[in-house]
Amino acid sequence: MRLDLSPNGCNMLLLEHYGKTLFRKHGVPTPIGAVVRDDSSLSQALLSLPPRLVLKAQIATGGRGKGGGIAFAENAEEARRALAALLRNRINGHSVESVLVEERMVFTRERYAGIVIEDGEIRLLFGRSGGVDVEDITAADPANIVSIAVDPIEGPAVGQLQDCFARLDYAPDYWAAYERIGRALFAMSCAYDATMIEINPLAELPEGRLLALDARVAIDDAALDRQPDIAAMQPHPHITPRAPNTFAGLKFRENTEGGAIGLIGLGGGLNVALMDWIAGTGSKVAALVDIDEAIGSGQAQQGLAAALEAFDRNPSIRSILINIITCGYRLDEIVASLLLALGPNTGQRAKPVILHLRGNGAARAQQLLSAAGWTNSPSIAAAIEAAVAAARS
Amino acid sequence: MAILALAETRILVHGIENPLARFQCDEMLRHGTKLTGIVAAEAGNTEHWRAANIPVFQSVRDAMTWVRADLSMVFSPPYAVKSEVSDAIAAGIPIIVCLTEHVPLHDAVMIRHVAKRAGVTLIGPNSSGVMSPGRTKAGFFVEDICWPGNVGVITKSGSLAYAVLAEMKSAGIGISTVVAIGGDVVKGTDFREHLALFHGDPETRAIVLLGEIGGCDEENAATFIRDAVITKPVVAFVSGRSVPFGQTMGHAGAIAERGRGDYQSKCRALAAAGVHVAQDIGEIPRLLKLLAR
Repeated sequence: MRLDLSPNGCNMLLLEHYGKTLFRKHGVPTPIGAVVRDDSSLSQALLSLPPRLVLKAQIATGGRGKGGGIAFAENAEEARRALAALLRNRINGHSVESVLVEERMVFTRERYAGIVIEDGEIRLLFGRSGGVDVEDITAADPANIVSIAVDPIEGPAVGQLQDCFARLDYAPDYWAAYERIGRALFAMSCAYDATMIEINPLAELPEGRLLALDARVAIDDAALDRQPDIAAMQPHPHITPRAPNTFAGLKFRENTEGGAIGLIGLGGGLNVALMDWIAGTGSKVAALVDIDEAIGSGQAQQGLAAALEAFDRNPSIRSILINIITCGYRLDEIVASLLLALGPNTGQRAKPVILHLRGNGAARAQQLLSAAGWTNSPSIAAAIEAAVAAARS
Repeated sequence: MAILALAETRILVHGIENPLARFQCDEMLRHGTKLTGIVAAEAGNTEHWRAANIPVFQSVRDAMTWVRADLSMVFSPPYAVKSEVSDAIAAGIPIIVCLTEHVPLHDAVMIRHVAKRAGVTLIGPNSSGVMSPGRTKAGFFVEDICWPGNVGVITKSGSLAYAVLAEMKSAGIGISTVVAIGGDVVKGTDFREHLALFHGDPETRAIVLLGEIGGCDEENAATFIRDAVITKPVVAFVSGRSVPFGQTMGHAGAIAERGRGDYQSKCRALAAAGVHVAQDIGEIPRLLKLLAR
């Protein structure tokens, strides 16, 4: 099962050409180029570009070069053919809507530069060798990357940068250019709420000049509302992988590996722990839904009813486990909503429902459950055992 | 003793505009917590609080000229957290618990930095709070799910801790304090600071550490337990064993996290530091009972 494990939700990965637009704004040089979508926009672009070109599919995913998303051309005819091929193909499962056409550069070295938030700090990264194999190179030789913690108020200190450049054996002629790159990365990271920016490769041209050949910029989703200009740079919406299916506003997560138990839980951390526990018994959660948002928005009954209905209709689910342990909400109020969604226990439900409900206002919750004929499991272990047994019978 | 939330801790609440904060204040009063004041950016309906003898202030600076506070609870909206927490730090409040979720990462980096520089204990963002049962409630935790006792609990996830506390209560095991450090990538304090506090608390005899896959907090905690010589028994549980490890974007994340962050790496690091690693939540009370013998 794939879960979104990023605790801060997701990061929006910008298309390369948007990233390069931000780069140029902050003084990071990029090759000259144009974004094209068809033959006529290519013809227009060719008027201002040299004959030797590189064409790069604009998709928000990694492994683009290895997936066939980059092509080279020596003349206009080759460029047309390359563009047609890129637009026709799917690259790593993504269809291509636009292509960045750039002058093909001659450079002496491929380096790496990036900025990332790690261990609570902003860290600048510089690499001796860059390019598509930077991860493998760094695995074999950790000294390939030097990472420096940046003061979030002051930015990188000159001394820190110079130490870093010396350790990486950058030629002194290039130090000023590298320093500008480091400062620009920090400035962009703060200005655009970027959680990661990567220039890989960062090419060394003759005479102390650097050029960003690629741009990977990830923006913190939690900050998009205050970054309207960046939010408008959404990748083509229909080729961005969408969130899992939603049903009545609930996010369901399906287990691609199968399973026989439907889990209605409260809180992502506990839901994962319950999945682990159930997997440890040899059974599996087929689908789970976090009821937190429904309760938080005052729609507990509707949310629970929708979740039960979806699980009733899901043929692989043979038992339903409702596990709610609450502190922030009142359990008796949740139970009142649950009983409206569930009805009294008359043995009429399509699938067995096992309850484990604890928290705030437990005494009244227990009274409500008993009056409706429902039993509350004494512990998580007991509830899981009952749900697994019911799914097997 | 317990840690952070003591019987005499006076609490200031920020962001009362949030309905969750209003509910929590009522719950704190029900638990006998010393609510010393409320900071409300907008002057709304404050009769309820005045009736309960809780003063309402327009800013934290204003509050600190009239009342004393040992701990701030911040419920402010995500984009207001940076300035609200910075103000609380500037006003000299020594412990700040930030319960707001969806705080932008760059803001979290900044308040973490400012708090560290000022020697302030910042818990969160996205924390479920702190509670010492029988003494003080400074978060979502309620006494219905736990007893007072001598086990200290540190958790990333609130919901996971609720379940573990409930299981411990069923087994007759109580807690000194529970601290939720939050599950965000950037946190004011991580397991390490609270391990040190529990280690120094004479009332706490054992520590429970609740982690999850992703990030390096558990590995960092393991190194700290070994190097700082935490001699109290530590029981850990890491959730996510059955979940394939997520992908990171770009090379930067992969380089930073190489060999760290997955379930096996965390459990290996913790076990090597002498931590007793529970396979499921049900095993936590059993391990605690064995260690108490």
